[in-house]
Amino acid sequence: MRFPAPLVTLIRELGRLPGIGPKSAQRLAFHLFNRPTSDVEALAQALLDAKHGLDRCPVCFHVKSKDAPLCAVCEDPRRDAALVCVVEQPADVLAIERSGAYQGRYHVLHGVLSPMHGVGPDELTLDALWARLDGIEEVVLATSTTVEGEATAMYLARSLHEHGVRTSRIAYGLPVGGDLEYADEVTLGQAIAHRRPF
Amino acid sequence: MRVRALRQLHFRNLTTADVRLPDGVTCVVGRNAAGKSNLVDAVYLGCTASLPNGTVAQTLRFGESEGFVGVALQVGDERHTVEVGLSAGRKAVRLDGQAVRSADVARLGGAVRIAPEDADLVHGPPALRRGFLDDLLARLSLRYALMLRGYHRVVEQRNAVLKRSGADATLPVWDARFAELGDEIDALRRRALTRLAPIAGQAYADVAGDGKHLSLTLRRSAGGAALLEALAATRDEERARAATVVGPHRDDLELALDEHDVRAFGSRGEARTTALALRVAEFALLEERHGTPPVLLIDDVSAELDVDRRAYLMALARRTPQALVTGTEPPPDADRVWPIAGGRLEVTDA
Repeated sequence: MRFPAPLVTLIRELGRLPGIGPKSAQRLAFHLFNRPTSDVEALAQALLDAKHGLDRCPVCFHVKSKDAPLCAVCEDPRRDAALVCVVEQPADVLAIERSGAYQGRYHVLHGVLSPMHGVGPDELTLDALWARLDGIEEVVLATSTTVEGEATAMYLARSLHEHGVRTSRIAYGLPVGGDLEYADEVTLGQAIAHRRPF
Repeated sequence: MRVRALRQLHFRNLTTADVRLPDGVTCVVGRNAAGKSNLVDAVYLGCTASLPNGTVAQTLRFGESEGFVGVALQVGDERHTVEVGLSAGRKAVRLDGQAVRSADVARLGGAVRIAPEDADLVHGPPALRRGFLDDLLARLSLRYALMLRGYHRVVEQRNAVLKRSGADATLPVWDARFAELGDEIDALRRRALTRLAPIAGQAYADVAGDGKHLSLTLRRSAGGAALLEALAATRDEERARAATVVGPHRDDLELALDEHDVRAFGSRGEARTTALALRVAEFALLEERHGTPPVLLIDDVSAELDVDRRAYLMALARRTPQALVTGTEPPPDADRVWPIAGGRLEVTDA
């Protein structure tokens, strides 16, 4: 049996979202179909508002609302402007913000180096990073520990040293509150290799 | 480690859904294409969450789109269940109900499979010998498994850079990561070989009794050069071929009898004994790592025509707590013999 055209279109569009396979897309489509019209309209409006009302911060490329000149972090005068943390995605900013342990500013790359996927330095927000280095004393490299994240961190470290800027890499190690015996040997090995004076 | 029970659905031609596996030597006897190897592969898949030939694409019965292999394992006093869901070239692994990586299952103790095609380890291309070493090391060390995966990813990324024309500012970074991971893999392989070589050498001497000495050496594609130097020296070639032409992914495990390469100069019998010696060393290292012998799977023992090798195999099976041996006729010293035909196993006692 063939689904009616609007349903097919909806399933196809939902299926293009990350982490949504064909089965999930179908389940979501039927779920939406069964919701009251007002709920569906609210969702559609929220999607459009988010798309039209959001923008990238011209300084750090984190998300900001369209009517604000800068993102909330760049606008905050109490944040340390000499310290910049480089992350891959806006979601990483939120994660670090939740920690409450960081008082500097950010720079969002919107990706990592991945030649296989055609992503080189020009595809990331690097020119804007070089342009804002004046007055920055330290750059914290907080890309992920994947192959691409590590390569991106190394590329940034080398380029930033040429610019005379100090860099640091976030530490790897044990989750807080975790028992040593349950840590996998790779994480534990990293934690021992990167131990610090105490 | 021991397998208490095997359950399966749509795994190649097997039709028996459920079977309890006792300790000791269980021999499964049937004609060709009766499903003997499929049974061995299903047990191997349950114990290691991977297949000996790597691919899950052809594990499903023809015409089926989903299948399943599950085992109940006993490791010391602990009991575990492993479930491997199979669908169109993908597998989903669960250990005690939790989604895990294959490596997490392999770390329980694993299984060793000895099969007639092991002779390819000696005669086949370097990739098979390298695969033997990598697969074993990955089961011995999660660190090696992750490092190897990262290394292959770096090689892929590097090759993507090499495919582009013109200079790329990121190449030095990929080179540095390549050398960093490559050196570690190199060092871990060498360290493993110092333990693997004496065991394989002893096994060869025990089976062959011909006074020849089997040696295992790593032959690096970079020769004696450091990896970064080797990259620099092959820059033109790798640009022309758009591929990384030196490094651990191109190295070979050299097998020699009294300094002569078995691949080039060995007789058929010497090659088979050499392959058997590698499996014995694999068994010993897994046993040493986990403190308990792995499950021993000997596929098609009747293909082994040499009396000494066959006797050695059966002695090995008798020494270990649990062995599954298949053949076209029963060996003399099995604890029990189960016939198999058309993928259906006939369990006579358990």
